[in-house]
Amino acid sequence: MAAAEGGNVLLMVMPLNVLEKSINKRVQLLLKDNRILEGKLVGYDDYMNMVLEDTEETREDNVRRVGTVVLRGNNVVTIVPK
Amino acid sequence: MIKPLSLLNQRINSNVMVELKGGRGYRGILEGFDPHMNLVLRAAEETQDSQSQRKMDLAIVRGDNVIYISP
Repeated sequence: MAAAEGGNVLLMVMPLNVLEKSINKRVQLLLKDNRILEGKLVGYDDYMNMVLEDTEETREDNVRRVGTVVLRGNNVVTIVPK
Repeated sequence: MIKPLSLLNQRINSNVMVELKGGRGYRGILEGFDPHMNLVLRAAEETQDSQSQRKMDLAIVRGDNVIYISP
């Protein structure tokens, strides 16, 4: 697609490639309901569903350990690799 | 005709302002995007109701939150 529309394809960083590079690293996720999840990214798919380990959930300053979670991608606002 | 994603493609590696649902906004260098309008922003600054919140080296913004992107 990008190649046909301007040839910037070599400079383009695809969002899911950033996720691929973040595998086994800690990421911070901001969710639509203002929750923040931080954990080690061990997997993801094309829907941006993710598997996180050693996860901490922060919600209005309350921190909760939730361990391993499967997160549905549609809740994500931003992903920040740590 | 200017297609939305080809205009976005011309803004690769330049500063953009992204308005999201829920009063959130981001400003940063657009490194890439995909057909869902998921974005990769470098040196991103987050704002909530026009107040600066935090700065991030790299952030992925999920496309379904985007209202508009402006150069």
